[in-house]
Amino acid sequence: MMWMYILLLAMSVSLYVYPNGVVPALIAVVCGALAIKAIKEGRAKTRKSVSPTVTDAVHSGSGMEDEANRVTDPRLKDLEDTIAKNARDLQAFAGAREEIAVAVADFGQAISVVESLSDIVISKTENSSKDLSTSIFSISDNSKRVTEEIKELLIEICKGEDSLESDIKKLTKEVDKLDLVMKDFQIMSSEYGQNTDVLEKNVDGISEYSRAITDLADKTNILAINASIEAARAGEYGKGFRVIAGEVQKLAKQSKSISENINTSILKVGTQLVKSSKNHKEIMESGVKAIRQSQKNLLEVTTILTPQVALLGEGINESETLSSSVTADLNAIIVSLQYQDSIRQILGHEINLLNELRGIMENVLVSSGNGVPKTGDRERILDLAKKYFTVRDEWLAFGLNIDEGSMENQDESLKNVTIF
Amino acid sequence: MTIFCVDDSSTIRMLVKKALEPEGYTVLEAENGKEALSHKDIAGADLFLVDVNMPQMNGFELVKNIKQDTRLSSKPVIFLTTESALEKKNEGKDLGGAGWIVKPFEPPALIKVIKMFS
Ligand SMILES: [Mg+2]
Repeated sequence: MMWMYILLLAMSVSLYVYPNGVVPALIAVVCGALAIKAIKEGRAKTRKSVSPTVTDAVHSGSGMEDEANRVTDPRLKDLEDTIAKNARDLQAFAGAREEIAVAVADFGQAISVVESLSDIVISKTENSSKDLSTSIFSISDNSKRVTEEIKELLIEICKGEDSLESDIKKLTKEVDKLDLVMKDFQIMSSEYGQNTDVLEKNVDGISEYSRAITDLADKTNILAINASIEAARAGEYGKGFRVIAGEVQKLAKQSKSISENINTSILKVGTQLVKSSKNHKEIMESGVKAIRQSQKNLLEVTTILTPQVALLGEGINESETLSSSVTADLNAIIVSLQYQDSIRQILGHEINLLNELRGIMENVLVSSGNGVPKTGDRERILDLAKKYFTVRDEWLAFGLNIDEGSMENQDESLKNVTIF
Repeated sequence: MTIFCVDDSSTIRMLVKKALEPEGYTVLEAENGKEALSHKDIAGADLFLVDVNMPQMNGFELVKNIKQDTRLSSKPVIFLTTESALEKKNEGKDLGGAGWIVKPFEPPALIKVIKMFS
């Protein structure tokens, strides 16, 4: 019974591993063979229980007496029939045993075929997963490097002393300063205007004053002329008076001319003052205008740049998120790639199990009197296996020729291509 | 810190390398216990990451040798294997192993374990 359990187990394992393979078929054959063996063992037991009776009967008498007994005793006839039947069965069993031995030997060959196929799976998966990991890691190294560079650049732009952010802060400060300067300028400008007004008034005042002096001088002159006329009329008595009147007249002329000079220069100064104050005002106004414009420009620049710096800051965060997600993906890939090692071991275990099964079957054959196990017919097994081959490497693994038609391409990259 | 990775799977060795090198570890490699013992830089290893099932000399045999070598006996040995049965783990522990990681390993976990011994 235990054999049956082992065989059932082996069958289910092989069916799981090779659902469409050669192995289940072979195992089915072997199962049948072992079932026959079990029957045979049952028969052998029967034979053992019958044989002594036959021997006893055969050796119970001798000569003519025996002959007579044989003919007359129906029991003896039955026994003879049984012996003849057993002999036929034995011959049939011998044939079956021969077939089982061949099947077991073929099974051994099949295992070695399966082993070779497993080797392909192992080496192919190992190579492909290695290639895959190499490319994945080089991609990830590159992306890591690029992300780092971008991040550094962004940090440089956004943070630190020479960063855009600090530039904007400086600009904003400058704008504030300009605002102060402009206010001072406006105050200065209005004070200057007031001062100019005072000056103009003063100039007007001085002109008025000098006109008054001129008037006074004119009047004095007339007085002096009248005084000289009166002095002349007085004759010799008015001689001294005439001298004084003459002096007064001279004085009046002089004071008039001085006053006229003052008036001229004051007017000149006043005109120039008005002119220059007008210029000054214009200059100041255009200065204020320029400051206002540059303040406006700076404000615009900072308004545009501030959200951009914020965006860049987000970019830094995003690049950090990206690089940590790349790391997580990479870790997942490292885990996945390790299953290749497990697959390799599992395939090895399957081969071991099958080999063990072969050993058990060979022992059964030996113990049932079939002698040393034969070597299976590899060619026949390969013919059997070939029916299922679809992959080029399966053919190559056994040095079999596979007709792939002509694939002679000049271009190395098209070596697997056939153009019809 | 130098980590000596002994595993018959070249993929595993490569993945260990890829996981540890960015963390600043130097990784030495060998395909099995025998190759590891004859590695010229074995004395420079600070920690061993050892597979159990390997041809020629398995991980347990290797650890026996490591524990008998006065240059290496104090270096921690961590098993990195597909085996997860308690009896195997106990065998590893009894041989003087410092830890047991069942494959597939996750890089952060591997790094964490190694850091416990740095
Ligand atoms: Mg291994």
